Amino acid sequence: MQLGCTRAGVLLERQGSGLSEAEQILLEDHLAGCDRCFADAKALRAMGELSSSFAGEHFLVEQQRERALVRALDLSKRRAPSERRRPRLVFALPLAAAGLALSSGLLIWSGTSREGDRVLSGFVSTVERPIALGETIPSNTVLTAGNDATLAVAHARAHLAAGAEVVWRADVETLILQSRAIDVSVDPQPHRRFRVITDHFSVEVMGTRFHVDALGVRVSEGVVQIRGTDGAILVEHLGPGQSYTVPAPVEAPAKPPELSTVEASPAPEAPSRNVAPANHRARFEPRSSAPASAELAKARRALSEGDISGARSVLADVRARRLVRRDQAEADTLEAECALVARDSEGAVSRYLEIARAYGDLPAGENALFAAARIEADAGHKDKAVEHLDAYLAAHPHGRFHEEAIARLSALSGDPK
Amino acid sequence: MGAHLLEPLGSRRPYASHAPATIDACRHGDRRALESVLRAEAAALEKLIARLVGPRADVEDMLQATMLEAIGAFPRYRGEASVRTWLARIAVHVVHAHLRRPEQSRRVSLELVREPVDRASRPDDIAHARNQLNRVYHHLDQISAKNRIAFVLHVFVGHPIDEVAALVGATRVATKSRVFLARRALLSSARKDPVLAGWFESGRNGGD
Repeated sequence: MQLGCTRAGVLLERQGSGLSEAEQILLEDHLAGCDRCFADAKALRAMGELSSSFAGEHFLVEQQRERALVRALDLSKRRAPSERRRPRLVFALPLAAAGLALSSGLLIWSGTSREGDRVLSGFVSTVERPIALGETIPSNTVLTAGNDATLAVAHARAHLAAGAEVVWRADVETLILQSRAIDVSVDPQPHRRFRVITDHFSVEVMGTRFHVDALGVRVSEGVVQIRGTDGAILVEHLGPGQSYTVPAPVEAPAKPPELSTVEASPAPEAPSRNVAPANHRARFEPRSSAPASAELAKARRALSEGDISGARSVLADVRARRLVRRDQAEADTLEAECALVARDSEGAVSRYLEIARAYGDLPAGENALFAAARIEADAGHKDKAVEHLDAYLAAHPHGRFHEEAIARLSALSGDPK
Repeated sequence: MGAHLLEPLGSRRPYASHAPATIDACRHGDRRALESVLRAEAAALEKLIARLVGPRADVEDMLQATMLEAIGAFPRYRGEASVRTWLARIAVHVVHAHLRRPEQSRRVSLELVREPVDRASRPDDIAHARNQLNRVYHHLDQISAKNRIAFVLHVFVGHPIDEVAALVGATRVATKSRVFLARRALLSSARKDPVLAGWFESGRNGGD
């Protein structure tokens, strides 16, 4: 029986896992007469031996394997404690609650760190000291990139532009961008959310690549969702090549801001920071079916275009309806933003404080209290700012702006952090 | 070629090297039991991952990811395959996901490559072998993750097709196709590589 080259190739593949004697003879006969298959056989064998020889010894040293094991065990504890401990949940619940309260307190005051979170490249430092390559990143601490740097944080890689300042909160897998820009690549594999927060919006993703700076987001791959500081969805799905822009920061009332604009860039490399054409914006109108939500979104769009009276008019219409509490909070927040855009800082602060009092249990209440503190601080009203920041930290010890509040408080009181 | 890393999947020996009590404890998330089992399997897992992806800096990351996945999945481990085989499936899954990530640098970090020839070799030979290994994994990087994994497991590691099919979660026919396509692609690009040219010379001394 004559063996063809195709069949010989299949037998070559199987050589490693064993051939029968008959197959071995057939293959040898074929190789004896076919130079090409003979060369392929030689190459495959050499490749296999080479691959085997390097993996024959352990590639990692014992210490590295041990480190991987310890990290995996530590991460698993944080990842799904409820799932793994379900059988003992009933008995463990009171103890767990006490432990959670205690550990949350410790997290807030002493910060947390995980071994997996580390500096991969570049020069990164905290206020006190530089962080060496491979060193674990401290949580809840401002990190500054001296040059372009890369961090491994949770299931993401963050590439920091030179001078970028970020705070990593390991407990909630959130990166807070304080200045400059970062490019983030999130591994979809762990099926966990990863969040980047800036002053004006947050980005939540499961797995994608995107660029964030203070003014917006540009997506290279995957889909992200953009939320406002009040938790409201600004853009439900932002896909590859699209970008979201917030041209004017809320705390800078000196010039009339265009608060939120969404645009579809022609190419990710060249994002435009201008207001997008109306036909592009229309694609990202909030998809809420609730009429009040749609009207509120309309008010926000009007405000983003600097049309304060238009926004107020829409808000007046919305208020005539019966609103659920969340929409009411959103309407009040928009009123406060209208005052801010109209350069009525005092009025804005007053409204924000009302929101904080009325909706302290909602994200809008938390955001409002912090916004009031920030406006007072920016206006140079130190005592009021300290008062509001103290109130914020007392009311929201796990708040999203916890670190920033502490940093601002330290700056205002002139004490080191 | 390479020694078998796994026991035959067909054998129904659920606890080949670990006591049933230890496995039960792992299912309940007992840290000591998990440590004991994973520590015992770490070396085999590392070897498997290293064979699949080549010598690169993130082997440790992939080993960690495999262990993390395994810890999370232990409550669902039914004992139908040995722990080692079950862990190998997870490792293959982790490697597959890793290789599919487009941002992954596919460059082999040469400084991390252990000497791929015996210690008696001359430095020139060692350097050449490193370079060849680098090129082999470079060519493998050009192949789709699915095909590459099936090929490496079958041809380099030496698992029978049925085992590979079970490991990658594909049918026998699909697995054979993957191996065939990967071999064709690898040989096609390797033939044009000057570093690997010596393997394809027609001289028969030292060949089969």
